[in-house]
Amino acid sequence: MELVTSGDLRAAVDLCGKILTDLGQGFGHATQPSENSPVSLQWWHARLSLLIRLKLYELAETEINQFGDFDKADLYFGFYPDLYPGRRGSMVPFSMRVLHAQFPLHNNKPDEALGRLYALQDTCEKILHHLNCGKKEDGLVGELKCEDKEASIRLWKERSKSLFYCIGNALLQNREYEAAIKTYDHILTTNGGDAVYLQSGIGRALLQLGSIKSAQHRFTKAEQAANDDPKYKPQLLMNRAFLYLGASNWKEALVQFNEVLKLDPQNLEALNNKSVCLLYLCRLRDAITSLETAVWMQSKENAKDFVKNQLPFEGALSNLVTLYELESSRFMSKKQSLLHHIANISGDGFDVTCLKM
Amino acid sequence: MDASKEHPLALRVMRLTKPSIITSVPVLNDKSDVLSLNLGYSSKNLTSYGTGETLILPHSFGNIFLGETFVSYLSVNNESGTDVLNVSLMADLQTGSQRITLSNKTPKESLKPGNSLDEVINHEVKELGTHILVCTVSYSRRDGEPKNFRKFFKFQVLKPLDVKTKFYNIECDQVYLETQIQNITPNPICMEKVNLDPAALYTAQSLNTISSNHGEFSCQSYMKPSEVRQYLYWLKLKPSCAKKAFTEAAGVIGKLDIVWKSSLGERGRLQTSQLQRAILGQRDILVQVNQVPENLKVLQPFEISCKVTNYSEHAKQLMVQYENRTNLLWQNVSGYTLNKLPAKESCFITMSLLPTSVGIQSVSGMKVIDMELNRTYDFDDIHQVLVTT
Repeated sequence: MELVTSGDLRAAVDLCGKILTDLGQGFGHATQPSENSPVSLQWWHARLSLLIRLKLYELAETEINQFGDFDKADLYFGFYPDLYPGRRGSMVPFSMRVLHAQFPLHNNKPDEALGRLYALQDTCEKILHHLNCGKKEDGLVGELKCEDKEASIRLWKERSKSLFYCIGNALLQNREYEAAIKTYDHILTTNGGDAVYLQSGIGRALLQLGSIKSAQHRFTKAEQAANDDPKYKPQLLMNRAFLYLGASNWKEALVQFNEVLKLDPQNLEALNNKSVCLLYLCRLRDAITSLETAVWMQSKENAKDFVKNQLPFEGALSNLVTLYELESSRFMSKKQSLLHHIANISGDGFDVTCLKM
Repeated sequence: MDASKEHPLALRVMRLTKPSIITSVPVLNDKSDVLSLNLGYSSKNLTSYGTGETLILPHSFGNIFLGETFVSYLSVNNESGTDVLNVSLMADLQTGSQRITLSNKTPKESLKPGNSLDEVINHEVKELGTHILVCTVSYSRRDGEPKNFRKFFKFQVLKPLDVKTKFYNIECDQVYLETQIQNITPNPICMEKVNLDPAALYTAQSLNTISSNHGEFSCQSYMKPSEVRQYLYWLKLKPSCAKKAFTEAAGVIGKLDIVWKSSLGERGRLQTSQLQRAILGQRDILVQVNQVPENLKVLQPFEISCKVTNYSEHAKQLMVQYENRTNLLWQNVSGYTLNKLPAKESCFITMSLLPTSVGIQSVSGMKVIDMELNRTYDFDDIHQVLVTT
């Protein structure tokens, strides 16, 4: 876990591999009688998640394919009656199924991913239905303790919500905006919790599409959901800035990003976006300064949170490199000092391609 | 590269399309998993959601389409160790047919080492095909000798939309325009405005609004690549221009004005050339239905009023005759003469009809005879009515 939060994803993958070997799995064990356990599958899942995160899709695919569609006998508790007397059902972690379902997205086969995701959603709904009818999860008649039942319903509702997010994201990637937004709206109506952030997110997706009016509509809804709670203030300012971006009003967008920075001077996204505005306003030098602030404020001290910001950070870096290349022919030395800085602060899971070396 | 060695200044150009928003496919994990956090998300506020808040600058030149705005960042950087004097930057755009000056800044007296002369140029592209951006940097050498160098950037302007039009002439003074617009860009686009600006002779009514109001996609405002959207307009000749119905001026319908937005509000606008329709064959006499009662019942006579117009150059002596052809039977006199009708003038006649059958019935079998030239004009199916029991 620590390797992951510090961004040392490759080391974490190797660690998962070692643990699996210790558990009698993995390399060289393909033909031997399998000994899956809930623990081993958890480590498999961790390893696969990390491989996908590291974009090592080919390796991930080979490893994920060994599990087929997670319906092999040796993946059930019932296959090992001595070890798990009386336990029934599958040992496969739910999130591993989601991972498998989402995988075709990385191979540019969104339809296949959607099919699998909807099938999982269907299972989720069946289980919730069984629970609500007073049966066990698998539909068998039996009494669950009241608190167990409630915990189970909570768990499956949470899972169903995650699945809806996955479906929405997959639809969006497939440019099915209308269907994606319907899916997100479903999340909003069934469990409102994230309304401010989700409405804002939908607004941004619509803006990316070019549908300015609809985006505005969503940002207004986010504002209503925020209900003047100061914690949402930066998000609402960001939304306003994005709307100005949609109208190519770089000047006003810049004002809004600066407002965000007044509330939250360390906001990586705001610093990055401010820099983009400055470039369009013909202020290359200022744009570089803003991005350099963003990049250099990531230090060893806050490396713990590195993984939280990794994608925006990589994005900011790639922007900075683009600006260096525009600025002068001596961009190579600047890139090298960036690389040096990153080597200090980030783990081995860093995607150096964003530096375009 | 060669320029930078010879000259103390270096020119760099970057096309500024709209930035994009970072996206990812987050890996979602359960709280009970060994690896209990979501991975690879783009926004920490909502880790399950794929579209983040980080703007990404364009990495490549990309496509540019007719009607979009070409925006570029030009930067002249002093890469030498000494001041460079009288630095100026000129940018021209050479199209197939003309050369447009986009920038001609007054020279900067002195540019310090490491400093730059920057400019953002904007130009709405109005021509298809090859465009060349020509940038000229001038400066003075230390001994005062003027120097300059040029850089060329070539790009193709592509066609974003395919527009097909079709006309349906209803009567001589009305026409429907059907327009099919296809998105031939590789990205989804949002139609913001598709208007018909009618020619002076016409008034236009758009038939494209759906009154139902259910959320943001009620008018299906976005089009995926290669999708086609259909628009319909109803044009009417202004009453004051009715006399020009058969003249060439009536063949000019108007222009379509299309505005769309794509990625992060990148705007495009296209105006078609004047749309032309075939002019109706010249007719001397025209009959138009003016007034018909509603709620017609079978076997109950009704009256309709018609307008008879003489489009010829001469006054005419006309006679009206009826012949029964459909389930609407003519009543009263089957033929009568009208008062002499001067050129380009109209008169009104009222006719009585008896419906003998229910359903949609057509008014047919009217003849107008020019008594001087002994020519007969037939008017069939001039109107349809609904008859009920």
